[in-house]
Amino acid sequence: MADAPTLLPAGTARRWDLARAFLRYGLANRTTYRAVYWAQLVNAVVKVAAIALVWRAFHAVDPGQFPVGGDAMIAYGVVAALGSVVLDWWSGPHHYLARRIRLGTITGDLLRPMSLPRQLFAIHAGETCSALLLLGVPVYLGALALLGREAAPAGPAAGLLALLSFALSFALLFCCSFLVGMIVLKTLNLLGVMHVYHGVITLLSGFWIPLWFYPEPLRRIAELLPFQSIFFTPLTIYIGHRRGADAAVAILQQAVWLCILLVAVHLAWRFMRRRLVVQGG
Amino acid sequence: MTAITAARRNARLYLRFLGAGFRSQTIYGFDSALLLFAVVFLNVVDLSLLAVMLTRFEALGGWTMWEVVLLYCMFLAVLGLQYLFTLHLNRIDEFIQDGTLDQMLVRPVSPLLQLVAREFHLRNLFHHFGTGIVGVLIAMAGLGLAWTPERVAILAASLVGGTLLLTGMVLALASLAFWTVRSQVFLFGTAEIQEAVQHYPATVFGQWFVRAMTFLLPLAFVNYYPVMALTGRADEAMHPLLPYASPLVGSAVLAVGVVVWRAGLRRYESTGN
Amino acid sequence: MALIEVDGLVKHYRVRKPGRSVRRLFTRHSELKEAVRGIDLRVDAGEVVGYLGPNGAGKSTTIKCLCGIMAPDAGRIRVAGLDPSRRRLELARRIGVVFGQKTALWWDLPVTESFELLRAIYDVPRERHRRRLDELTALLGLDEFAHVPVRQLSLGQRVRSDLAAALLHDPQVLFLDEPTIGLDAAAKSGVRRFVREIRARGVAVLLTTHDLGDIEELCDRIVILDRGSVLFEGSVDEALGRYAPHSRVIVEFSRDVQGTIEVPFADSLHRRDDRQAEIVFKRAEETAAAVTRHLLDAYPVRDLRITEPSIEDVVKSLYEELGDRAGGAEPARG
Repeated sequence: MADAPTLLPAGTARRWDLARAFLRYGLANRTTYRAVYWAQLVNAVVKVAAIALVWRAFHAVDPGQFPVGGDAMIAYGVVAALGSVVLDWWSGPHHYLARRIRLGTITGDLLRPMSLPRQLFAIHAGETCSALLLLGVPVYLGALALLGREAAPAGPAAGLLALLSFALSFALLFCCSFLVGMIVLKTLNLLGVMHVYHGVITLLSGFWIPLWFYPEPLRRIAELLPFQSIFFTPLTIYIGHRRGADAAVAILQQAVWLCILLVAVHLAWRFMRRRLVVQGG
Repeated sequence: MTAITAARRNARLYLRFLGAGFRSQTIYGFDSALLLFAVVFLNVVDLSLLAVMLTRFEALGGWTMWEVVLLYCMFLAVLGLQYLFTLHLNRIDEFIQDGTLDQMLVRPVSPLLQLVAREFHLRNLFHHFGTGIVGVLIAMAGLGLAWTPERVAILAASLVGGTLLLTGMVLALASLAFWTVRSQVFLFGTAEIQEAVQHYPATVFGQWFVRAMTFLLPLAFVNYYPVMALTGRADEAMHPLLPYASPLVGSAVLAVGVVVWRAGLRRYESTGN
Repeated sequence: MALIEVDGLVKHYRVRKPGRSVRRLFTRHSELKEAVRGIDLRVDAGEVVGYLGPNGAGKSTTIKCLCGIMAPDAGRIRVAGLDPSRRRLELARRIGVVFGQKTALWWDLPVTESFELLRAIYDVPRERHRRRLDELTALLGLDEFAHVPVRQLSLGQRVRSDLAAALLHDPQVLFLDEPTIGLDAAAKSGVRRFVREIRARGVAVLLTTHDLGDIEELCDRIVILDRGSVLFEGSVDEALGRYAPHSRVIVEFSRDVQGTIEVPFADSLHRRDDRQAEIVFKRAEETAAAVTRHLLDAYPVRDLRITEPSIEDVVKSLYEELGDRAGGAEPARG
């Protein structure tokens, strides 16, 4: 591992180096204050427990309403809660951009020998990995130990596919948050934009309530938008609601959305950078 | 100075601070309009999704859709009132670190008064509180409950009690910064529980949760019990008087907050930390 | 009359020492740091005392103890006759504090509104407040921006407003923490003029600063702190005598002078070339007049320059020496 980078082409070695640096940054950030970390851990546990209990209650009222079993529904809730802890949309590139603008350090960021979207991606990836390692994994293992089948994936294949799908979700969410960041740059109103963004994700991603419960028109709209790819897709794969060809198509759909959003990020940044340079930050 | 003249002086000072806070509100414009829209939008989304579930399942923990709407909006209105007066309490850790607290300590007025009075967040009157009250009115109409003087009194008392309660809780949790440097995370920590209490009747999670939210972290007095009182199901509570106890419990929690703040301040004075 | 009296002040801090990376989530280290160890200090009415020292020397800690923000671990403090940590509220009416870079004013309010709030906070009778405010307005030239919100003020205007805010209740003691930091030359001299005026009215001023102009122009006495102890206390001249005892005369001859130059009492003598020499001597042993007289008598002098050391030399040499040893930074909020 230690000498692996030297065997790879220079560009790859540099990327390894960067990845390590940003992961360390993410870990350091999250562990600076002990109390903060432990509170975050407790938050994650509370969130998971609350969702699990709500679905248990709903399932008890009328199991016939669910297209999946009670175990699968609780697993959906548990993993959704963990997903929202690890893939956090309240912090991220938009938040970072707004802070740098407020501090007036954005010009300095633009001068670094790495484009701002790349910097943001690296920082966000480091933070997400640290959240995954320090919050996601421990709480997930705890949930598995406590809930057993109620938290487990439908099978090994479902678990692995869901992992792949979640990796794509991370990239998708980064693109969305980056685009939201561009809106924040334009409106300079982080709080308002964030509330709307949170509302949109809550409504259209299926992380709280699975899309199959939605009234027909709302579900159609959600299916036409990229947000359901972020949570609904990996979650349904995880619980085995989508399997085989279904799952493959859903992941392909995620990939297509990712391509579209990457183009959008690229265009939005080209437009925004010119404005930032002209205004001097 | 006797206690009474001191209290009167503090009250006068607080009003004066409020006046200053009122005057320093930034002028309403696009920003506030966007935020108002965002707050309304977010809550409408939350409520619609809840409603989607409740129309399918008809009753959750024995609560109907309009009762859950009332539950949700009651919490929102109280949250709005707390934000209106003391939103900045969640920045106590910043105030400690950037020297704002030191400045309060070199003035001849109680630092707690200065802390509470230092900001005033008028826009929350329209945002959370406004949205919440409109929701409460709609839900009451949906439930077909008339506004008898008794209900108006219960609503007013519960709003005040809930506000005191949330304020006390935020004060206590944010004051932990005296020991841990950072404290906002404790507020986020209870935010998850608050979300649960706001969205679902506490019974959904089981009796243990109702007990925890009654005795341990008494958030049930913000919306769960007041709604029981308003909808005439007080007798379903553990004790039929609990639904009317918000003002009392709120005052008690506020007292706890003040005690924690004072202990923190004493620690600060001895360690400068 | 002593308005600040400190005897044997001691104050410890517990400093967190974070562990490395993820490990710090499970371990906790802290160590006791002596921020202040046995300081004596005295400031009389109508006196400006400069409180100097490198970062981390214990200046802020002392000031916090003097304002009653922090209770000392040992030692006796009296400020305006009161024990600060026991009677903080009472003391607050008798002291004014300007925390250099942090304004005490309300960010979004016009300056006059802030003053009105402070009047209420300090319970100053209206009539007296008005007279006091008129006086301060005239001294500090506040009228040009009295109705501008604080956030729109220039730094110089803001510092002037903060000085006024600290003096509205007519305190006996004034604590100034780096009042001239970041100001331009004109604004600095304005602030200094004002401090001199305040001193003339019998206020005791304790001034922490890194600005040598402040020290030279304002301080009757300076106290230099190092790692929690007083290293030097006395007048600026005494400090010069102790830490920069040498003056130098640079002499230029009208024609080449060969051979050695002899000056009695000279500590050292450098020939730059045949036409120039630098003579270093102890002020305590010889006056500049005697040295120059000797040179004028004995050599063909064309030009002659005397350089006296400044407090800057003192502080620079001291800080360099101290900085090398101390190394540590002040605690984040110190």
